[in-house]
Amino acid sequence: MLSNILPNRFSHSLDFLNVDKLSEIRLRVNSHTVINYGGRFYLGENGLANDKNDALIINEKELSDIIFKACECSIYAHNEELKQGYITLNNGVRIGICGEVVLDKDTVKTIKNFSSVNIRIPHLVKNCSLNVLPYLHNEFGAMNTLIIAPPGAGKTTFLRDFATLLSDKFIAKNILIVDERNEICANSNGKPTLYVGEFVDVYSGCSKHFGITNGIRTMSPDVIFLDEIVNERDVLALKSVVGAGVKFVATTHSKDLEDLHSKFAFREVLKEKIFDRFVVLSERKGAGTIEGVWDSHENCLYCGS
Amino acid sequence: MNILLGAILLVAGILVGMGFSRGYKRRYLFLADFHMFLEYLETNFNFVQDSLKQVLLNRQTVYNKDFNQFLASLSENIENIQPFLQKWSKEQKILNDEEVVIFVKFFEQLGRLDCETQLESIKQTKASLINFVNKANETHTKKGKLSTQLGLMAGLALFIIVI
Repeated sequence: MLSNILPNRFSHSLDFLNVDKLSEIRLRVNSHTVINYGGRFYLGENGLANDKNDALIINEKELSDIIFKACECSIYAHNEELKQGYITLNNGVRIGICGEVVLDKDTVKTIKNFSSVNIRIPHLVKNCSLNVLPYLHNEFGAMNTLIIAPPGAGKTTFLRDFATLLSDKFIAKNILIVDERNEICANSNGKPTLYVGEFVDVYSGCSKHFGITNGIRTMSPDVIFLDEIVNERDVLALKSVVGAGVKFVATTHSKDLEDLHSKFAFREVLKEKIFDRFVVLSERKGAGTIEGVWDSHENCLYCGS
Repeated sequence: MNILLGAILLVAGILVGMGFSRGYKRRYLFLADFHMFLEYLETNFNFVQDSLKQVLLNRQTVYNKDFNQFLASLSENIENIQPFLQKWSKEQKILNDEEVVIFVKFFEQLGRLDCETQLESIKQTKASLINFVNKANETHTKKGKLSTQLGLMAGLALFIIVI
């Protein structure tokens, strides 16, 4: 999965591990490599390393080569993604990138002199949303749902599974996924490489605003799925979905409902009660732990154990 | 016997002359192909922005043998280009030192720059290259013919001396 972009000694080390358990690799120039393998571990020459001193250390050239290879040796063709600090591979692996940001006035031109990368490996966890599915739809279909979780707690995996279950169980519903960062479906040549259901239309690599506006006009969706609502612009996009009479399922970075209330972008919409359901996920018992489901009045409908 | 030896020397003279002439032609064609490749890249990067691998895959029908062979090797070594370019620049016999510097510098950066900078690099390389292409063409036209004629004359001279 990663052997074509990682230096040999790193891909050799990963051969000793079960890739299904691996969710993140953090590489920093001249620092010890850390992976998320059901917990944080050092990556050594032959898989996990018990001691920090045995951990692999990446150098500047190797890190730069990872990004070069991830861009199919064509950084110019991935500059728009680079500007936003990430590259998504065809298999849905997302590489977050840090380095020196080149600005032209207030606009980001590119990132250079890369200093660290965070490689996130997507996983299909079948039926991970099944337990709470009855709380997230009624006889008319899906409800407006916001999935809340901190980074790495399985929001996108949950969203993907929810879309699959809705699509496969309620075939009359048209689902549109606006996959801005190509993480939900990992589209390659326009086709999803991760299964997201049979009756699903996907816009990938476009802004939420574009996906929603054009999607509603041309694809007549019943439900729109969106990942990572982070700012007022994204919230406005959600409101436009509601205004068009279409349901949405979206995710956002927050620890819990209280944390969500403290976010400026969400204050107005929380008052307007556009969300019918909130699902809170955590890493308490591993990524994807469902903490509970709340309704629009923030009454708990389902409590995770 | 002398006639046969004379004929052999005549043919040898012509072949040596043609060999020199061919060298000038190869250099001109290589530089002209490089210029054409830069123009193709410029258009591609301005619009569709194919990956470099895709760009190199689409090359076969367009270029002459030498440049096509170079692109084929480049395509195989694209992920580790510096050692390849070092080896190539030592082994190649087509370009002169000045031309090699421009050539290697461009390919070292190809694919490693953002779009705007990559386009600027193409623009600059094209500007430097055009003089070399014109000179190579001039050399090919003048010296190419001259070499063939000199070869023929030397061959004839030897033929006459021998018989």
